[in-house]
Amino acid sequence: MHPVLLIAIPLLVAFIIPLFKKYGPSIALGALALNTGISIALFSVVYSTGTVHEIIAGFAPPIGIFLAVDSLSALLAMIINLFALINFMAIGKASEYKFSMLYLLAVAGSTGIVITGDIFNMFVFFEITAVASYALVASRKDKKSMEGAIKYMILGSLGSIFILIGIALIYSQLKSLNIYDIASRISTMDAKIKWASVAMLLTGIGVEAEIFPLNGWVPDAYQGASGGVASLLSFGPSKAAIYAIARIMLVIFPLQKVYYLVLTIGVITLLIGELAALKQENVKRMLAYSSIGQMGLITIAIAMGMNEKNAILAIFFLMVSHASSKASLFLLSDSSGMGSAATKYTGIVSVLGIVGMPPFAGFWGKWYLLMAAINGNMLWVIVLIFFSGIVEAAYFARYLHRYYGNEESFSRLTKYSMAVLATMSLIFGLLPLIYEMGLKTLFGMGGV
Amino acid sequence: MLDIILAEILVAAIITFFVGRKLAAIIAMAVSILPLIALLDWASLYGFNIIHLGIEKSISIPIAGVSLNLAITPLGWFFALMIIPLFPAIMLFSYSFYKKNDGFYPFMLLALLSSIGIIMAKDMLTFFLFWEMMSWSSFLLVYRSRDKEAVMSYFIFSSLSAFLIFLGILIIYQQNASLLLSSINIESNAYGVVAIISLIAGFAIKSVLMPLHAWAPYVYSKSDEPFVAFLAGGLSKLGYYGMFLILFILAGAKVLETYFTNLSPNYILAVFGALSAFIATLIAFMQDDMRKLLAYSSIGQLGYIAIGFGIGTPLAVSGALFQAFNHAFFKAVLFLAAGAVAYRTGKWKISELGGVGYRMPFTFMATLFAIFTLAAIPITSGFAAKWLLYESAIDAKYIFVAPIMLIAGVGAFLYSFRILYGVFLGENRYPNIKEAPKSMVAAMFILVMPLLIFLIFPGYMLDMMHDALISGNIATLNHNAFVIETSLASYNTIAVIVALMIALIPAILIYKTRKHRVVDFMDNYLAGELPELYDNKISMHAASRFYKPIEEIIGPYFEPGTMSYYMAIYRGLKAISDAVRKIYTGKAGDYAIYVTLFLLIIMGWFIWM
Repeated sequence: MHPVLLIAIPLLVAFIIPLFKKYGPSIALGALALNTGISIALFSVVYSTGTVHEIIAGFAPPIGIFLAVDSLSALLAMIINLFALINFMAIGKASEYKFSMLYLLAVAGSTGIVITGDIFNMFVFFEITAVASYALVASRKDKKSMEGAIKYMILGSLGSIFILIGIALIYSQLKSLNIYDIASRISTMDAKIKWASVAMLLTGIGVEAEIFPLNGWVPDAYQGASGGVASLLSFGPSKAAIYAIARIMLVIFPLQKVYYLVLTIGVITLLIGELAALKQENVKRMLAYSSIGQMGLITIAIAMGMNEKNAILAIFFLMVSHASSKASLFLLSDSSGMGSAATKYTGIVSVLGIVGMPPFAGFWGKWYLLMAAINGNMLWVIVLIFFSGIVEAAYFARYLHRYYGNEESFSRLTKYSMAVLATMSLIFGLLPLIYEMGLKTLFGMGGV
Repeated sequence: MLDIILAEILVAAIITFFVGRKLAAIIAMAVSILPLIALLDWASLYGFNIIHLGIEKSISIPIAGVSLNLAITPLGWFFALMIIPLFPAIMLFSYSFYKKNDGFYPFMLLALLSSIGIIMAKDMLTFFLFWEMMSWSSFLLVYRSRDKEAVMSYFIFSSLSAFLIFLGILIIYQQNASLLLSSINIESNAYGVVAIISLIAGFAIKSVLMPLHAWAPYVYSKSDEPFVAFLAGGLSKLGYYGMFLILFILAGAKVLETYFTNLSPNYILAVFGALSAFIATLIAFMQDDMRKLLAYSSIGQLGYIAIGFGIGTPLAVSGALFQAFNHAFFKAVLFLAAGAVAYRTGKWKISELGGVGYRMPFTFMATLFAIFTLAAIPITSGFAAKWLLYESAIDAKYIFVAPIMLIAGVGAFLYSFRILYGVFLGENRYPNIKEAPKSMVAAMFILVMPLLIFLIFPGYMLDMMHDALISGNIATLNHNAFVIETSLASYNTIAVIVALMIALIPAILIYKTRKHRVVDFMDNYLAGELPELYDNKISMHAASRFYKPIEEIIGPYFEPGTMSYYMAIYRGLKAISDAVRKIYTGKAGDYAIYVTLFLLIIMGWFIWM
């Protein structure tokens, strides 16, 4: 099973869909199902044999383009495709062929970011994802969604420019685009150009990864988007982007200067996100701010991952936990209530998951992150994480109280898809899969 | 076998989610029998040969790549004795209490599962994992009340408690590089002290020690009684389990003493306990809602356990554990009785009740006995426990704590008297109700049984806690079944009974020889005032504002209430939140400027730092 299929199938199908307008959604569903199967197969290969490197078009790296699927990218590729499938089922009839097309492009782009081993390809996939996401946010076609999409587009384009400049700076010095090649020769770069390129890459990817203060588009875009799109954004593009940060920071620039910077950014993002959510009355905006906070938490884990194995485990758990819980909460936010058993279940399980209660995946994420923090003697980070956790508990308690038991208008398929999505956090919190994948990774340990 | 016990509770929790209420109650009752049998079997490990099945006492469960280690310890066994037996009785009670199955049974079973996990945890990870599970499963039970204050305060305080405990665990982990309880050694430095204090504060939230009790009055008075019976009776003890673990088994008390040379932090714990007992008792005077009264009574009674742990002498700790055991059972009975009364009358307010006992004599009997134990009336086991505590305070020369405890002890009788008189006796306002259903009555009587046993044989209680005390490096008291030897005197059940008999003789004589008159309910023979604020339908005695003069004096001092201070913090946070929200101006131009500024700042950081 060649990993490139993961990108090729949705891209190809996306462009076939306009030919069969009527069957668009069904074809897209088929493609997503196929992709999910492939991503699970890929996951099991990586699970048993370790990192997979695939060369494309027969040129050996560093000249040729290649895909590098390490344990975190295999996990994320599986999460993105599997969740995209469930999420697509939840969106159901609302989707027309244009929507299906854009949806597939966003999934293909996010998967591409995660599995590519080439920095320029990463940029290309960023563009595919971003363009599809702008259109998806606007797909509700009302004033709010237009506003959100335009803000997203302005900041996203700005970010893309910076990514491109960052890549160009590296290329001008090293004449290479291969991540591992760059990583092995990074010390030969001119110091000032090196730092400029790190700053450019961090800023550019940070826009997509919802890092403060680059995340101005987040509340508006999530508020404007329909639940299904917001859910896709939370487990697709944003996860891929934060993964890109992890890969670039941990593989290319695992340096002490970067460590403190990323840590500080993470802590600030966490606090700003959680505090802003506390007084927010609009559910989608509240969830968007909460996403910012969670991204901050993952950023802290990435920073600590430079020195601590536990933090790497935390990245794995936090990503899966946030993807599962936030996606189901966004789907739930389309209707202002949890009336039936399935939606009540979804609401409770996702809130417990996102607050980090055992045995959900989020618990292990926080556990390993704090273990890493105490090993690094960072009591202040721990106290701030606790503080933000209490703020988070407060607004989610309010959220549950306000919406639990109200009337709702979801179709049966939507309800069950949401429930399955929410349960993922529980499943990954109980199975040893993530832990073992986390131990296999060589991330941040100076290896590939 | 141990893993089977945990597995069957988990499976039952899932099954009870889907079945009808009666079947769910029966399943829940049935699965709690196995842990009870195991409890009796483990008794043989500590010198009681009750049955011999050889149920092993240690297992490990793999989950998410790590393994959870569980083992039954002397302390865990003793706490299991006061938590597990409550469960089947409460399930029996709930059999006829609920009209439909809407999430009570599955979450109760999860709460039971996690409590067993907590008291059997062999390492801190297992402990914390089950602690959090207990928090959220009980949160979902509180959630059923749909009361905003109760839901929010429980969720926020539970999170606070979890984080304090987590902080303590992290520091301990850093000092020992291990989470196994057997290999933990808390260092006597600032970090170690922070760890101990934050752990104790975290546990104090769950065991409602003032001033961390603010959630309890809301939660206890708004949730269903069967759950509150388990929460107040069983789950609140888990906090004290944790405190015992930290203070004595992990020798936290010694660490505190060596670190603070001038002031004694254990004394502070005792003072908090005493204030908790005293203030909660005063507030309980003023409550009209039966459940709120019982809530404050719980806060007060649990305070005694903190006093005992704070004093820390063998006498005090034995008394505290004894009190914990008693409290589990009598408070469960009282909450269940409140539930039974409300089940028949639909009322919780003492001023609206009266004379229920004429129609519900068995409920009344159970309540009466529970209140005697609560108020530490001589010869009840409550008296034995508090005797040990008073004596230890006097012995340790805690001149502030001892008198306050004594006043609170009298106060406990004064407020619980109102339940007896205002709810069960007095004007017969409900002549047409029936006795509570048989299952409810049976449940209450089952829970009264242990109190009766230890009324006669208080020494057996000391036998049961013997190994737990030894494991915490605390000497045990000399005793036999009837007599507990203490340093000042000795507590002798026979002597107390004889003394009581002798004291009762003149009382009976006076009662027999005096003429009785039947008083009208408007008669102020109890020296009360005419209730001019109420219309004349409300009779004047224990039923409504019986302690009006006291209320008028002490009421103003409790005016804003602890919750208002927490609310002030919450409002402050919301103001900060509002300010933070303004960063997101909504203008794309501003956001573009943020991006550019960010780029410049981090470039500056990289190049010049």
